[in-house]
This record gives sequence, structure tokens and C-alpha cells, in this order.
Amino acid sequence: MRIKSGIFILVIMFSFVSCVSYFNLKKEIADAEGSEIAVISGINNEPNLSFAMMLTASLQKHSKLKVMSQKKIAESIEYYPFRIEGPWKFAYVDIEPDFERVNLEKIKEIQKRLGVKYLYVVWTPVETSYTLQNTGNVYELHTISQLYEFPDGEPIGGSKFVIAKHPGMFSSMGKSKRDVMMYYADNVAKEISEQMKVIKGGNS
Amino acid sequence: MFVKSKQWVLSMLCFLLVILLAGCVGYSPKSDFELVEGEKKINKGTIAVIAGSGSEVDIKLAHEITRQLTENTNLTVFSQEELNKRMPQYPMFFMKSQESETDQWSIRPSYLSEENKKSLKKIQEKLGAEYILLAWAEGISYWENGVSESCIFSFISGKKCKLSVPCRVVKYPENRVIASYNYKDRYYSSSLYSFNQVIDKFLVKASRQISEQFTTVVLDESMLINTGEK
Repeated sequence: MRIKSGIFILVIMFSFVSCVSYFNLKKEIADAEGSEIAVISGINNEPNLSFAMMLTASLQKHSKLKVMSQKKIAESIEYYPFRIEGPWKFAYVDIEPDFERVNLEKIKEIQKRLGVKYLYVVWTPVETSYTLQNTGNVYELHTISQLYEFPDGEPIGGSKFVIAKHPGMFSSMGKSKRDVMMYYADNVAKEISEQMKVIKGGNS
Repeated sequence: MFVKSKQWVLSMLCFLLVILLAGCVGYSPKSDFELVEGEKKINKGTIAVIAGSGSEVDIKLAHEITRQLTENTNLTVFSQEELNKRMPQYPMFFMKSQESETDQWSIRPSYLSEENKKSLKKIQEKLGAEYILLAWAEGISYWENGVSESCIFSFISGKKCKLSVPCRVVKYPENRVIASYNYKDRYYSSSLYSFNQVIDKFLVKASRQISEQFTTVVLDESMLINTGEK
């Protein structure tokens, strides 16, 4: 009986892990190799900037894109990082998306300063924690992101997922918050690279 | 007899439905805005409502309190957009935690740590405002289900949240807290609403209460749009 319920919990956990979509590209891209991309932190707090930094490093590792460093972004844009109104109606407990609410003007201004072809803006507006009886503490960082293509500033992809440090999940067992975040950043970078056909070691 | 009991059941069902749809029930907060002893009410000047952090909750509070003060008083109130223009990093996470602040057994209600006072002074220097109303949310919590506390509707209306919002009014150039409010409240709402919607409604209610208390206790009557003179 114990084995059966153990297997059941494993199946549920596995299905949760495998359901996460880290990135969805909305249009076919064939010639992105060598194009420049910058990852922008949409909120000026520590977790958001950390995720942007990790994603920058992961994209440099996994993709054939020219990835602008966070240092260069900070040198090019005064006061970076600062808040950019993001794509949500509410973001207190979780994110209720509303893509009309993005401050596209601010994003276009940033792109003008950086001169990159792709701008990947990531927001982490909700950070929650709670305790599960007999399991432990769960920490969640709700993220939403958009990939913009220039010169038009068209949103061509994005995602919405939760970075979760959950004592019962394989991906975060025994890991620090930073390690969990790096795991997610790596997965996002791999999916962006695969879907844009610029993954290192791929057939692009 | 059967018809009568059927009518009773029906009317009870209607009653329950009305409560479910009506949604939200709140408590009246127990504390008030307090003017620090020896301080005078504000009878002119410029004021900026500053969010204690860049969190969605604090941003909502600052926007709503700003709106209320702009609509209902003769004070010159900085819009949140103006603050953002003058300080591109605003709203920002500038405050350091001072959780003991709302513990009124041991610390005076108007307490604002020296570190936070310094950070706020830097903001004030960029604005030149004569007064700053600083508001930030501490300890927002939410939960669902279960009979709890003393609200008679709590067994029906499923969503509940709790919030405390310390507020400080600081006068410049003196850099002195002249008034404070440690707003605390609970809010009950129908399960029909999402937690995000419930919290949003709660924040609007909290902001209204804070600005009403501010205008009543801290502001001179002549500064009220309905009763005063320009």
C-alpha cells in the first residue's frame, strides 16, 4: 500500500515537473544565429535581477546568440534596473496576465540604447512562501516574460511559470534557492535556443 | 406545513446566494491616525505619497492614497507618474525591515528607524516636498475555508486576508515624524473572487481608510475640498 501511494506521489510530482513550459515562440525564426540579445530585469529587486543575470549566463553558454552582459546593459542604461510596467492585471498572489498593460514605450527606449535585435524582458512580481505539513517550506517566485523582436518591437514569444523550491520536487531537493533558480534559468535558455534554432551543438 | 418549510428553505437559499454574490465583509480597524504630541495639523504645502517598496501591494496603496488625497484635499499632491519622472528608479525597494515597528507594546507608534529616515530624506531631496506620507504593507496573509474568528459570514464566504500597513507622515526640512497610523484589518470575501481580486479590493478599502483618517486627523479643515476654502 505504501509503495503504491509512493508511486502515485512520484507520478504526480513527475507530471508537475514535466508540465512546465519555459518558453513559447510564436513565430518561425530561421536566421537568428549571431544576432544580439539582451535580457532585461523588469523589476528592480534582487530576485528579478539575479534571474536576469543567470539567464544571461545560461544563454551565453547554450546559444549561438550574441548575449549582452548585464554589466554592459547597466553601463548603457542609466538607473538600470528599474521597474517596467509588466503584462499583468494583478500580481499579488499569482500573475493574472494582461499583455495590454506592458509599457512598450519604455521597452523601445531600452532597445534604442542597446541596439540589440532581441530583447527578452523578465518580471518576477510575486514572491510567496508557505509551509506544508510534514514536508517543509515552499518558496515560489512567479515569473512572466516576453521576447521582443526589433526594429518593430513585436512580441514574438514568452512564458509564465513559477520558480519553486519545493521539498518534495526532484528539481529542488536539497538545493539552495540560488541553485533552483539556476536550474530554471538553464531550462529557459535551452528552450529559447532550441526554438530559435540557435542551440550550441544543434543543427542550425 | 410542507409548503411553509419549502418557502423557508428557498428564502434561506436566496439569503445565502445574496451573501455569496455580495462577497465582501470587513472589520472596522481599531486604531486611528495619530498626530504626534505638540505637532500642528497641516494647513498648506506639498505632499508625496511614497511606496515603501516596489512590491505590487505597496504600489497599489501609494496609487490609491495619492488618488484619494488629490480628489479630496487642497494639498498639492505629487502624482505617482511625477515621482517616477523625477526618480527613474521609483518605486524601489529602499526600506529596511523594521518589523517591531507595529508592536505597540514596546515601541512608540510613530517609530521610523534612522536608516529608513535617511533613505526617505534622499527621496525628499529629489522632490522638494514639504511632507511625505510613507506607507508600506507588512505581513499580508491570506487563506481559504474553515470557520474562523468572529465574523458570522466566515463559514460561507471562503476567502480571507489580513493586512497591516504602517504609515508615517514626515515633515521637512525638519525631517521629523509628525503623525502615524498602524493600520490593521481583516477582510472576508466570497469564494467567487480570486485571491488577487480579494486583495485588490482590500487594498482599495485600506487606502480609503488611511486617506480618510489622514484628512480627519492630520489635515486642517481648511484643506478639505468639500468643507474648506481654497
